[in-house]
Amino acid sequence: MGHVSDVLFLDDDEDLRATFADLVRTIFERECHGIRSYGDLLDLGERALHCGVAILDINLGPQVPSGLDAYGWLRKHGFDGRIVFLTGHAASHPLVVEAKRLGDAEVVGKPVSLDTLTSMLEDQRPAEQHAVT
Amino acid sequence: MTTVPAYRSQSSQYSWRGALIACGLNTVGLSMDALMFRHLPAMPIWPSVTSAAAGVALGILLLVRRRRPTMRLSTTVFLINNAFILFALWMTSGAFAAAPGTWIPFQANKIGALAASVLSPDLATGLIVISGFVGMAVIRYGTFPVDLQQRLPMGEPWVIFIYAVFALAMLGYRVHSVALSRRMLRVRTESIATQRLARTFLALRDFTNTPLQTIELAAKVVRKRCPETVPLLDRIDRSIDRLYRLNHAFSVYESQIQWTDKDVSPDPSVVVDR
Repeated sequence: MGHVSDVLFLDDDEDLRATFADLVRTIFERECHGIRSYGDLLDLGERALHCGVAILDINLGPQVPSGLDAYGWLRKHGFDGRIVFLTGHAASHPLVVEAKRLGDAEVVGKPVSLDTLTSMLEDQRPAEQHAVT
Repeated sequence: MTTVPAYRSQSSQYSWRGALIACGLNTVGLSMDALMFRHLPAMPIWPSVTSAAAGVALGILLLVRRRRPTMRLSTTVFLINNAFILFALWMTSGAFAAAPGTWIPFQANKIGALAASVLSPDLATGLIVISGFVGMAVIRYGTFPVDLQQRLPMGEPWVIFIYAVFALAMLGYRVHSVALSRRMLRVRTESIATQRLARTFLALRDFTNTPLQTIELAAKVVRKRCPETVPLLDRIDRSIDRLYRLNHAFSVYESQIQWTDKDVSPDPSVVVDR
């Protein structure tokens, strides 16, 4: 079973996923569930819903469900933690624009600094430093 | 390989078509002249036949060069074609004027001036050919004997100047319209090229964002686990900062892109692996 201090990290890049999980465990001493796709999220099920923060990459590759679909699933199944979209795309990109319209999720552009990550995971304040504008 | 810009290629095609139509009109018009009026007294047939044959030859030359048309070729062909027509009209107009019955003077010159306004490759060529048709009529009139001059209908040959005014107005309007459409095509071509460049730069930026993020976060982990590597990691951080600045420079291209449905889930590796 997941814990409210756990972090859910969805990204299709294996190296970033593994590194992010290492970072969360090493620096923040919290558990991180790294998953690569929407399908993995469904497999994780209840454990994902009990995380305190979900960090979702918006674009998970061509012709596959995006981070927005993952957001929809989490909210639909009662996830009430903080959701942050992480994206390497332009602020004007259609998926990023759609993510910004959601209202109860933040959109942060890659690269994200350690300070911003800290604010995401500990301060529970909206990330500002690298926010996509 | 050097490629011709679309607007220049379109311009050459446009001139080529005009010159080809002019050759066709020469061939058809002068052939009909030769056939219909061959029985007129003292009517020389050979100038019309020669002009029609020249129209055929020049038309064939244009067709041979249809895949590589140039403005220069089209202009040259257009001028030579009209020179043959003017020569034929000069040679046959005396017989027309002297023939029994009423002759409407210099009809072919009037039509020729109007046709030149529509078909000429550019303004200068149009002006030359229109002046040719008008000038030939006026000079040829001056060579007629006085009794022939007096047989012409009222106002002739000066009516041709009214045609000339119409032809010049049409030529000016057409040249302006063509120039406008070329400008629009040029702007559109440049816009497409800029979009393509912007997409490539942004794809490169998107492609590098994730690896850079990975390196930066990995450096943070190592910094925590192995404090003795801090000087080395500082160098890595500074290098990453420089790469981030490069990425940031690409951001100016964001505003150049008009996103489409195809861009919803782009795959940057497609651009990088090309």
